[in-house]
Amino acid sequence: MESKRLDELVARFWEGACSEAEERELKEIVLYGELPAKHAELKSYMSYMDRSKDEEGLGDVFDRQVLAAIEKRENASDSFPWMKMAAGMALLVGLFFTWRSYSDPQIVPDVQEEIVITDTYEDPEVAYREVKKALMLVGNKMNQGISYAGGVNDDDLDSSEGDEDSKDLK
Amino acid sequence: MNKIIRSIAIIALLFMVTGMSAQTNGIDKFYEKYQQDDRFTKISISSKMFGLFANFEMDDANEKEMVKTISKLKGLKMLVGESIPEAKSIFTQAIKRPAAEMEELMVVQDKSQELRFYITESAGVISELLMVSYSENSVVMMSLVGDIDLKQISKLSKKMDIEGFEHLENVGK
Repeated sequence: MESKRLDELVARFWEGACSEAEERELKEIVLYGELPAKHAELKSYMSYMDRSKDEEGLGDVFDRQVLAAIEKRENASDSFPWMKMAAGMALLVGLFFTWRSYSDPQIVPDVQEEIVITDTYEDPEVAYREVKKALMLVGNKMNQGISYAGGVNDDDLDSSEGDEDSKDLK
Repeated sequence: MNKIIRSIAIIALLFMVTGMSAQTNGIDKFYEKYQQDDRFTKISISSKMFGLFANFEMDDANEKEMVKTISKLKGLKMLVGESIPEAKSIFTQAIKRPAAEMEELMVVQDKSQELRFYITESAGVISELLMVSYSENSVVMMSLVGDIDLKQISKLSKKMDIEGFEHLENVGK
């Protein structure tokens, strides 16, 4: 191509008066042909335009990726309340245990007191024997009461309370 | 949403459980009152101690049953007073609260002695048993909490040899 025509094309290009065909022709020269150094500016301009054109056409894959990323974030925000709730739960549980530990000091002296009172019962076996004794006493008294109530019923004596109440025993 | 409701229910339940354990049982008031009184023998067994009983290995079948029954309990408090001239008035005082708040299970009474059982029961499960008795110069208050199997207690006490009641044996005779 003569450099004259090239100069002319370049001049028209800068004026924005190139037709599409002329522009394509120019581009070809710029990309594949030999471009005089005085038109270096055109070359950089065109390659810049090409690059930005590429950037504009981001393509379906890019779109899909972006959309997927957005959707993902939307999903993440879906599960966000659970995080809040978990935090709330943790707070409540924390409060609960704090409250417990605050009310504990009232329990602790009580326990110590129990140990003081029931010195011998630090041994579980001894404690067990005492509980057993207590239960035997309860059972005994109850059995006694039931038989007594039966006797009262038969003999029609004064107290009928025992009789009436013994039926509660299942 | 269901999860929120469920967690609220669980938390409410937790509070209820601790509230229940904080509930004072029938003889707590008297327990404190006669704390320093030497005429009273005080026995208190914590739920922690009851927890230890479950591990007991027993050979005898009845003893095994006993361990099972006792392991279901959560607490025992007992107040035994001897040589107490005012036994009857203490007894009368002691039954005031349970008479109002608990269910009367049994009354055994004659001129010089009286024994009462009170229970707190819900859905067929007895969660508290209170035994109050006096005779002449002695008075006994016992409070049991937990899952109380009265039938089993009655059965076991019939079956098993009753010996060594020590300070308890003359109560109510």
